[in-house]
Amino acid sequence: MIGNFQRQKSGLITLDPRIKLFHVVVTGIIFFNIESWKSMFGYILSMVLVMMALGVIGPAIKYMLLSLGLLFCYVVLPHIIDSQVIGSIGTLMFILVRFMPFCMMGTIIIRTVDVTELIGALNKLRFPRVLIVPFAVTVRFIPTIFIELKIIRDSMAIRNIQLSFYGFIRKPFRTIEYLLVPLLSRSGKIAEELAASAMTRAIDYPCKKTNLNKLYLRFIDYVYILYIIITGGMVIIWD
Amino acid sequence: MERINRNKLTSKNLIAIGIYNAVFFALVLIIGMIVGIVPVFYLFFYAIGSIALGPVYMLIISRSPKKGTIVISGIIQGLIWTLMGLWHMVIFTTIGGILAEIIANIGQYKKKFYMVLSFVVFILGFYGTSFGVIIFFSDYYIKLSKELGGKADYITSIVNLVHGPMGIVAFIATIIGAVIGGVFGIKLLKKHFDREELSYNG
Amino acid sequence: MGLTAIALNEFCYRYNNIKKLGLDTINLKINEGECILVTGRSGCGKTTLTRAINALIPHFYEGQISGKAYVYDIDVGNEPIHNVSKKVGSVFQDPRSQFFTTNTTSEIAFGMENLGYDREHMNESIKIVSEYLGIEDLLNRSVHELSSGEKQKIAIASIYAMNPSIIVFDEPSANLDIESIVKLRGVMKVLKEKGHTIIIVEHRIHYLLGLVDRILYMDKGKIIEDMSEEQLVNMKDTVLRKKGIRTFDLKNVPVNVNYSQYTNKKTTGEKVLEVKNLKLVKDKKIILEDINLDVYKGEILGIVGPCGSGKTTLVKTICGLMKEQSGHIYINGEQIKRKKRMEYTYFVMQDSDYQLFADTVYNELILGNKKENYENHLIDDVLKEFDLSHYRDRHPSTLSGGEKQRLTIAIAGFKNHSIQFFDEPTSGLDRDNMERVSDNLLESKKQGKSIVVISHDYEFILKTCNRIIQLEQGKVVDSYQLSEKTKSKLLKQVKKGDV
Repeated sequence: MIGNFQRQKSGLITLDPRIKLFHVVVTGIIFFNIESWKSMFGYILSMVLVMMALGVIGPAIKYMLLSLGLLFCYVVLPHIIDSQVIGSIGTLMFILVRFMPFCMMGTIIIRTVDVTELIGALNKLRFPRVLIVPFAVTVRFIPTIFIELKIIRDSMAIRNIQLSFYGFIRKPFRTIEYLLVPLLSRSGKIAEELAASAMTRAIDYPCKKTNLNKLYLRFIDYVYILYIIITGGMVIIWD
Repeated sequence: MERINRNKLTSKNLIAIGIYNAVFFALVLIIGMIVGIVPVFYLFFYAIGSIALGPVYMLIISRSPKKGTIVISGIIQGLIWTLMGLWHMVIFTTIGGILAEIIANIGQYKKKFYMVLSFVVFILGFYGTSFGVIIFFSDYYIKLSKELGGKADYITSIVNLVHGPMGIVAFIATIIGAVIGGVFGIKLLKKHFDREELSYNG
Repeated sequence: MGLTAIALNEFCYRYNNIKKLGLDTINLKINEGECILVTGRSGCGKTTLTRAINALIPHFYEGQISGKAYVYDIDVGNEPIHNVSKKVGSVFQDPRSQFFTTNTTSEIAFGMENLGYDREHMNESIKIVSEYLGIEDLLNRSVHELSSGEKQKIAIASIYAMNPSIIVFDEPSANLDIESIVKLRGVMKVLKEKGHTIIIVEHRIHYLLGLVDRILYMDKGKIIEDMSEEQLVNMKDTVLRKKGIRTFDLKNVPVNVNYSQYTNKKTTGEKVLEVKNLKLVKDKKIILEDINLDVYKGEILGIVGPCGSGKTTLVKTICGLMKEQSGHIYINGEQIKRKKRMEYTYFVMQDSDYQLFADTVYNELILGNKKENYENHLIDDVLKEFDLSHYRDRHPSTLSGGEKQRLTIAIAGFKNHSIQFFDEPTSGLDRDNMERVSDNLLESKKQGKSIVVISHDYEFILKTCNRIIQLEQGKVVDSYQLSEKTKSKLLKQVKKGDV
């Protein structure tokens, strides 16, 4: 679940979140520029290895199988069955393969980066406070909002207020209004209480904030950086 | 006692921005999951979703009517998508955020016309990402199907449709949707949320 | 010790946009190490008093001060909150909205990080705090996994780690279950022993018996009385009632004497609800097992039990909000499938904020009801009955907590469902409002409705319920009629393992 940053406890190695963010950016740049399915697959493979090293094994296998399946549809199938439909589906599947690395990166971050770790990383990267505080709060509360929405949905059902597709079509504004009113009033209350709690714990104190968890680059992180650069480079050359 | 600059973003503002952006994002995800079932609707996602996003946007501004609020919101939305792997979103949402901020600023964060316009621009920032992605993939799709030797011709024609008329329709629909969402947002704000905070009890 | 920790001189406060004074000429001296309870009706100013001490007024809740408030030698009115927070720690009501991070250890370190403490100091503090508060097993966990009691403990730890001399608690037990309240008391005891000055604002005061040195009773912004524990214990219940104070010593609370007239006539054995062999599994855990219970027409059934025993899940399942794995539910003799159950049952949740949708109180009552089912004057009657007439055209969000709660019960009163369920309808309510809720439920019962209440509010249960069902770990462990003889069973449940 998004935002439910649970530290994967069974990894072989742990990596600095800043480098993971670097990986995200590099992936984006590379993947928009390569074209052949071979280099794409190669890159996906390199990411699967990272995933497994970090302990995210289940999804790694799923992504591997998924990409194999999708590539099969593009590379092999149209040559076996000669039809428009198959050909179209094949190319569509291949386009989906293009999304894979992004989802994989997303999974890595969600599964292996703790929110507090992330904030520490952003702090070290000199992000301004006006950005970090709201960002931390947003990420922290996204799962909570989903929970609140579920409660509101139950509450609407009890009150006999329609929250369904048909309800939305018939009376879109009313439906959204009923959904948003309790959600936004709850959010407002939470915002106020959280702010009071933060203020009385000196969030405004004018000094350099310290961090409980040390964030530093270790040998393995440098290896990781090299790994990213090399695999990225190789893939481009190979293309 | 120190003079508080009334226009500086306080921790209270920042936390409010944080919470409401969480709501914004959660709604984007949910609407996305519902609308995204039919792939073509993807382009119209923001047109439909704005009806729910508008009120949230208006509330963000109402609780923090200061310079920086909207830009920060745009950046945050983009950053969250970055965490999910799609970092290109940050570019569009930030540009959208900056432009939306300028517009809202002109309207002093309360004039209705500017608020709605600001929201439209903000949403177009998001739209830029999906639209850009669709166009990119369409081109790519056509190229791929040529590689296959014309085995995907009839879907290619649909793709061309997306490029041309459908794309324009979606763009206009998004603007209309955002205007409706923005106006609805202001109305909802006035109806329910324009009260002073009432937690003075006790 | 004798050192003055807190002093307020002729202190008055008016919130912006509110005509009445929040605090009216407060003169107060609190010595270091004292443990003070501040109580009074909702709206009496007790929370505002805490805000005068932790500097949330005037900076956070803006308004006008006159007079002075001192914490040691700091003039609180003229000092930024972050400076005051070094000396005054604040624990609030709702543990859910006090967490800034998602990791418990990071949360404990939050305040210290803000104050710029170095890593060694922080680790040392975390170690000490977790030892004293007994939370070693809660360290380094995800906030989402914890119960509200555990969350509250972490919140306290976070403040304790900053080592403030004064700690202020604003209704800390409002969202807690019995077990957690017992543990809360234990934590407060530890803090007191360490010499901290403690201010506790509470409605539900019984758990503080034996802990507090002084009790301040406030009304309309003034401190009316400043008494010792002995004085409060010796106060007659009629006096307490008049003041709007809840019972301090629970042993004195009587079972509702009016019961006889209700029990004889209405409990005719006609079963409105029958639950047979209900089982519910969630996330591979058995939440409910072997549940068998009956609800008779015209009775008010109380469901009690520790947190996590499945009370809310049971009620939600009966109402059709959750799906059972096996078992049968019969309403008025007929087996009803999950989807249809909502037509026969009505559920009022604990937090009223999730249940208010409209822009006026009047519209709130109309909502969800077909026009044929209500007429204009009927709604006004209901408003009158629940003493909400003067709020008819007000937005529900402008009502106080107690009034919102009343509104949700009024909405229930207006519905015609034969069985109604209430989840902790009195949490956070002062005495007057608690008694009002009780009266309202008794009135509904008189009209023939059957009511099931989940509660751990002892005084409320004694006043309202005629029968009790006790749940523990998803099973029904006891079921009995409530009477002077059996009330000790309930008291034991409420005071579990406590002093």
